[in-house]
Amino acid sequence: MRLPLRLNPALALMALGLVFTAILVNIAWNEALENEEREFAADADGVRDNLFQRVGAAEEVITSLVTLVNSTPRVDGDQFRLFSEEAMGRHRFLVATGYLPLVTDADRREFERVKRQAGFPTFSITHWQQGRFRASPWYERHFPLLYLEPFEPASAAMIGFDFLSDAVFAQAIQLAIDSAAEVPAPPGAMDRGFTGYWLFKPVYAGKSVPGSAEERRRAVNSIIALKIDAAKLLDESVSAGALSVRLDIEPLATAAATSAPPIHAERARPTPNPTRSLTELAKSYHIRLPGQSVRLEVRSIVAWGDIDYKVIAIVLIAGLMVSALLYISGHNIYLRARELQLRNIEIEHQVALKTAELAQEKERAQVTLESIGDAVIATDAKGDIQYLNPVAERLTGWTEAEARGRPLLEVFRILTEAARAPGENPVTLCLTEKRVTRTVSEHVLVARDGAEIAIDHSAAPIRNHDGSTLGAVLVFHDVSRTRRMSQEMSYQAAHDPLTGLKNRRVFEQRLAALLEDAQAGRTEHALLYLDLDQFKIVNDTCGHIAGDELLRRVSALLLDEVRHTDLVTRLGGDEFGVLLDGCTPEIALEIADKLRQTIRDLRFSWREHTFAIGMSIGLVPITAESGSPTSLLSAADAACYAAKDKGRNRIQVYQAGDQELARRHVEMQWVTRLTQAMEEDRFVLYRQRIEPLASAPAPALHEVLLRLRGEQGELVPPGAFLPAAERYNLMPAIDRWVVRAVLRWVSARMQQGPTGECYSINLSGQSLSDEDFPSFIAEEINRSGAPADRICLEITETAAVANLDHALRFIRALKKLGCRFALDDFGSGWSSFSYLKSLPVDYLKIDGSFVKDMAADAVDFAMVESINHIGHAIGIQTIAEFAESEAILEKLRQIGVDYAQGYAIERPRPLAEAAESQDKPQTRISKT
Amino acid sequence: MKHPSVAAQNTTIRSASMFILLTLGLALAPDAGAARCLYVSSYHLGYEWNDGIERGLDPILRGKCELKKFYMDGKRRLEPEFAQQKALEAKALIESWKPDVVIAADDSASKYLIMPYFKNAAVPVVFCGLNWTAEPYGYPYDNATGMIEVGPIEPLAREVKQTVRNARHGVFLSVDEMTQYKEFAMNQKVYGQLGIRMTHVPVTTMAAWEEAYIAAQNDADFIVVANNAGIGDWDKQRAAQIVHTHSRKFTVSYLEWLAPYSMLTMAKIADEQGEWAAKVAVIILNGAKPRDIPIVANRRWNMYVNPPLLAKARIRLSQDILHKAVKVGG
Repeated sequence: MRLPLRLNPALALMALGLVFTAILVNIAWNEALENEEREFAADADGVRDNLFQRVGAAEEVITSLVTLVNSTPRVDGDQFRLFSEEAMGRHRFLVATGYLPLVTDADRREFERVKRQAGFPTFSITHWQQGRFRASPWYERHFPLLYLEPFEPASAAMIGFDFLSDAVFAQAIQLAIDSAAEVPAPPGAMDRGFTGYWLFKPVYAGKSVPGSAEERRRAVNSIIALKIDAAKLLDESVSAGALSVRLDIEPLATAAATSAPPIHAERARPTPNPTRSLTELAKSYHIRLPGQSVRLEVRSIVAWGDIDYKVIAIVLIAGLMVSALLYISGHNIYLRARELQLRNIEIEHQVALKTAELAQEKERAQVTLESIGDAVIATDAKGDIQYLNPVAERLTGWTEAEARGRPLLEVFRILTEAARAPGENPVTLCLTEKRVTRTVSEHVLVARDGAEIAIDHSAAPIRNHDGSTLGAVLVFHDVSRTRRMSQEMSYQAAHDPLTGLKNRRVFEQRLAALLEDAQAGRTEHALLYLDLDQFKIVNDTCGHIAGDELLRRVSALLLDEVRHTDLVTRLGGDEFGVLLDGCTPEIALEIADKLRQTIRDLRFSWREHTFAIGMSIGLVPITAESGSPTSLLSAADAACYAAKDKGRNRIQVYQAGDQELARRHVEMQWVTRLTQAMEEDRFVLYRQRIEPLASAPAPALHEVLLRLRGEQGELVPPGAFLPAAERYNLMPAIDRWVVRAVLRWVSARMQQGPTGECYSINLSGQSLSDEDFPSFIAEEINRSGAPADRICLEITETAAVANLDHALRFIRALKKLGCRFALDDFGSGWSSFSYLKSLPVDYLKIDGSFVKDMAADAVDFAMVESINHIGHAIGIQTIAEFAESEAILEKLRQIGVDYAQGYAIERPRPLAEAAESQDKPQTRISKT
Repeated sequence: MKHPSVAAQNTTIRSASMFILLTLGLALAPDAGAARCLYVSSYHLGYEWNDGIERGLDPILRGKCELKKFYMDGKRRLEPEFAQQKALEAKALIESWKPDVVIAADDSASKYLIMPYFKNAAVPVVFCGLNWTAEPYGYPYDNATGMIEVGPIEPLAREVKQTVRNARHGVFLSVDEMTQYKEFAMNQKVYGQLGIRMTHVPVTTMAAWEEAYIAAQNDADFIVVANNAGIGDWDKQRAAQIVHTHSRKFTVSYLEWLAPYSMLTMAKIADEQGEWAAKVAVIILNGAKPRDIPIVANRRWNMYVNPPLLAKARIRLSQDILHKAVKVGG
């Protein structure tokens, strides 16, 4: 994608930075040069000041010497020496002072004599000739050097030198005399090569300087001379070593115009390499002193190395850094701009996509809203309706067009279901609390036509991206059916569906509450445990419908007889519980008896049958001393059984310490023990062989017998715990444990090889009534892999007959899998033989009570023979139980019973032990 | 056959050893190339004037030449024979030691040594301390130059004239020694120009000096306390006692060490003589010819006043003198 931004600002900024850097560097460079110039100017001025200061000092010194000489009547050489030493000590450039008295031709001889007598025996006035001082010719006037300081052997020869004998000096001296000023002179012949000059100043007789040159010539009596070392003068004057200095001193031209050569001195610094020279700076000065004109020229060559590059370097580095920063910043800006452009394009693209998506979403939402099952109402921030979806239209009876703009409650009228009070506006609530609100009580919506619809609703505020509220959306739906179902479920959860009485769960809750109340010492209550005496007969005789009807009738009667504060509950089967609230044992006994009589008076008729119904009642006071609800219930149950045992249709009041009740109580404790035994896997399986009595080979049958290993390891016979298990409805669980264990066993046996063994498992009547039991067995067979035809299920005649239809479905379902069935204890229930035809069992197990005495009792023998006969007639093989002797076996063979089972054949032994033996198909009955 | 590198090592070691020995030898041996300077004093070590000359001489010559000193002891032994004997010894020394320059201090050295044996000789001579004039010894020679010792007679005479208004007669009290006669002559000349007659009283003992001093209190208007060096029994305390006891007349001196015994002293400075002689010797050693260096006179002196003596004699000096002079005797 080509972007419109083509100029890279980084380069532009950097270029700008570099331009500014160049400008700044140029400024810094010029400033550096100007600094050099300023420094040079300052240095040059300094040189000028120093130089002129020293020239001035020389003038002062010579003037002072003139004054000294002038003020001393007799010129004292020692004073001259002291003063000169002092002056030369102060100014190193002053290298000599001299006193030149005027000696005329007439005075010369005496002058020389005196001097010779004063310790200078060779003294004479001299002039410089041929490289040495020689006695000068006689002239009119002489200015010989009388005092010289410093007076050193090397210069001692100058003593007596006539300065007028040298033309250069003579001219300067003459000019000095005429001008009354100090006049410079270059080195003369006697000191040629000296880089300096002499300065002469006249001393005139008298206290004032004569006015005219003529008078001055007459009045002059001596000359003071100063010898100045120009090199030292310049050295002292130039503090900056890089300067070249040129000094030109000329005597001032007077009427007598001089031809004296100019005094010239230079102090040059080494010239730097031309390639390193940058520029040359020069400055000239000119000063006119009395009698002399001094010109000073100061030069300095600025070399590249003289420039102070620090500022330039700083400026350059800073400029480059700034340029670099500008480049980086510009580059970042450029990149950022490009990124923003790209992002903008991307955003625009995204916006387009999102717009399209939004439109789709909107359409989808619209469709969704219009198609969902929930009703939706959208309002603005004031709560006025903006939108209704079709469901909302249907439930409220308002169209969207009619409802739009109306306040919510005008369209959405709700009442609390229980109190029929107007419901709170959910939209207002959610907008106020700024959160989602849901139904907290059951509401009904009053539609436009007045119809009431149970609804659940929730409302949520609609917020803008900044959190401001735009409005709210109210969602509700018809919960009429759900609420109805809920109510029904609630009812069912607390009621017995058959009788409409409160169920056991409610009973137990109420019992716990009353017990807590009694234990708190507030009052006494009572618990009645009721059991119909004849219910099983009615059920067995007239069927379950009649039994159910009986239960409904009894329930109604019980409700009629108790107080409204009492609770009548069907605890299960034909058992009822009544909780008497705030009732002493005496009154409870009265109520119980009234109940008993009421039921006793009941004559239940079903078709051609009429039954007198009795009721056994166990009564337990609920006092502060009572134990747990379970113990109370257990006690009441025990008392009820005691009442039954005592002849039925009576009331047994629970008494602590009652032996019978205690036994019952112990029996009920089996419930806990059995449950633990199952959890701890302490049941033990035994088996007892069922021997075929015919001579022909037949597969062995084994009845699986159940034992319980007690907590102490003792073996508990089934008679001790099975009644309790049956009574307390534990048999289905026990049966399942047995079925599972046997199938695993059989499967394991089968894996060792085919045995042909068949194992017979006893099933309780409760399991037979269990609708899920067949599917359980089928699943276990599949899971274990045991062949189903190796399993025989024994059901009692009583259980089968008690629910014959169910028993038939049970048997047929499992026989389809291949399971066999045996009808156990046949004959004990005095059942009709007729239903044997409809029971597709494989074996008929003749009740042992007939078998065990058949050898001695003809009736029993006849019974066995008859049963065997009937079984064979129907096509069912027979098995005689309790075959405890050979005689019985003989009788059984005689009759033609197919199998026998009993001690005469084999005592029961543990299944694991039996697994050790190889059971072979039996060809004959063992005698042992 | 030795290995080449071993031979090279031996050669190096030999060379190094020889270099070290040579260096040590040069360092320890007498400086055969160093210049030699012989200082011949007319007097003896310990005599103030001589010591002053040496004080000026020694620092300048140190490092420039090997300096040897010979003392003719002319202040303690005044007889000419002794001086001649010492001159011969000095001559022998010069001839044997062959100095590059001879410094002859004071008159005896020039009179008994230089003039008779080394006039216009090859050895350069620098004299100093010659009182007032070199003429008696025939200077200048081609091989000699130096500094003449002049006293500030004129300034002192002016002060005497200014202090003792009617001075007509002065006593020049000195040791009886050759140079003092030259001194007296010069004084006589200067004072004579001022109309003052001078009388020389040379003495040889302390008692004579005392007697002459006391006598001068009556005979003269002022006393020039001249050089005492040579008075064998000179007693400083005694001298001090004498002047403090008997001074009534103005006394002046030219010698620093006599300042305690005179009221005004304008003293020549012996150091100046030594310094000049040493400087001349140095430039001669550097190649200068003695005849190119003029004979000069000393120019410096110091001034001392003795206020107790002045007070004793009730003499008042000008304020300028009192301010400029160094005070002694207090």
